[in-house]
Amino acid sequence: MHIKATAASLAVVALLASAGAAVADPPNFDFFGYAQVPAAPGGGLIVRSVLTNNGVVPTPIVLDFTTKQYTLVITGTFASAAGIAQQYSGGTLSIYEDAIGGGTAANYASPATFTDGTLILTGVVDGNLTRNTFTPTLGNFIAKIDFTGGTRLGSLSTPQDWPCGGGWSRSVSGIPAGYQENWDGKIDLAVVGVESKSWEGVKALYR
Amino acid sequence: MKRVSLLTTAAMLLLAGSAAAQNALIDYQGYSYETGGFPVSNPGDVLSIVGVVDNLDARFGVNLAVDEVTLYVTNLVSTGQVDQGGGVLSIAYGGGSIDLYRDPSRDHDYGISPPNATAPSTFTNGALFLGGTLNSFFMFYDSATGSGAYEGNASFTAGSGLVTLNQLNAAGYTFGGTLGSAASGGNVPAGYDLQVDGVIEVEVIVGVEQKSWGAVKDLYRR
Repeated sequence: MHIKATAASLAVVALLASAGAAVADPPNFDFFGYAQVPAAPGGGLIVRSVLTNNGVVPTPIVLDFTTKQYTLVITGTFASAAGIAQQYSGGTLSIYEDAIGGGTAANYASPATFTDGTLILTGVVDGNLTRNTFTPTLGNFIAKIDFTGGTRLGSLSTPQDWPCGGGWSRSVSGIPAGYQENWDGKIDLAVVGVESKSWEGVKALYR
Repeated sequence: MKRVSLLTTAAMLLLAGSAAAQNALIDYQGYSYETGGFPVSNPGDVLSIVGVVDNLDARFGVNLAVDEVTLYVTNLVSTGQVDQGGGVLSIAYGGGSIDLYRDPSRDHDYGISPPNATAPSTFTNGALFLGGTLNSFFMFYDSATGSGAYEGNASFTAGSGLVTLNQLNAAGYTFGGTLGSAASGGNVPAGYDLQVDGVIEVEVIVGVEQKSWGAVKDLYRR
């Protein structure tokens, strides 16, 4: 546990240094995209998006935004609705890495362009994804992600309980044909348990 | 005759550009704070947001690896929270300014318990990139999940970004999602109320094409 927490901390420090971003920014996966939202229970939700950290905000694992594009896809099944909240069950989340040069740029008219390249992280929604509707054109979404696979799974400090949330709008112009909502959100770094330890205790870890 | 022809052509190009131009999007994330904390939002409380842009329309010509673009929204005055039932609160805000700055020092620092020594000051240094006012700003908050959303209309009237778009002013719109500290897994700096992740849409009236001064002069030599 000590080693795990220490490794996670060192990884974050390394990330902050390598990304050239302000040290004060907590790492996250920031995504921007569009959603196909089902009209009735039983239908499928699909969110296609692009990671937008771009070296400005650090990511939980080192990513190369100069030569790679990262796409993020969320799926779920409309299970139930009560009040303003819709519940989506069986949710999944996947992040792909694709070369900018020689790869296929994300194109909302071509769903396959979001799932080509290398699957670097995949996971499931822990419980349900909740999609709130505050007005007919504005709402938010919230979920927790458990990462379960992908080539970079081992780089995560912990795979469990990554907070995911953001807002959606139908008022933004330019929503691509076939999509109903603009989704803007992020996945935050999951908290790793931290235990107070003396400097001697830390040094003892390396002896 | 030649002058009339040129003016007619220019007008046609403007009209054609207007029909084709897509609005410019700016993606940002940051944190909000309200006097007295949030929730509760009492009448007269002032909401502010500081943030950093991590993606923006290529037509602005900003290289985010060189310059940071930061956001400062403030002077949003709460009219008080309204219980919508089911733990949902809605708040209408009056007034409000929205300013973005372009800064090569890339020194934004949220710090803790804003306003502080670095926030908003490190979000308002550099050159004004877009400046304007907000109206019809609403925040919604779901107490059950500790999350919410907001939206508002903007009117941009200043900044180098408008110059780049060849515009004197531009209508705008912003929306975003919010997470409280617990909902975000503790990823809200101490003293801030909410994590925000949002988008600004800037109306683009005409299409813009890069052209050298020599090429522009050539247009009038024929």
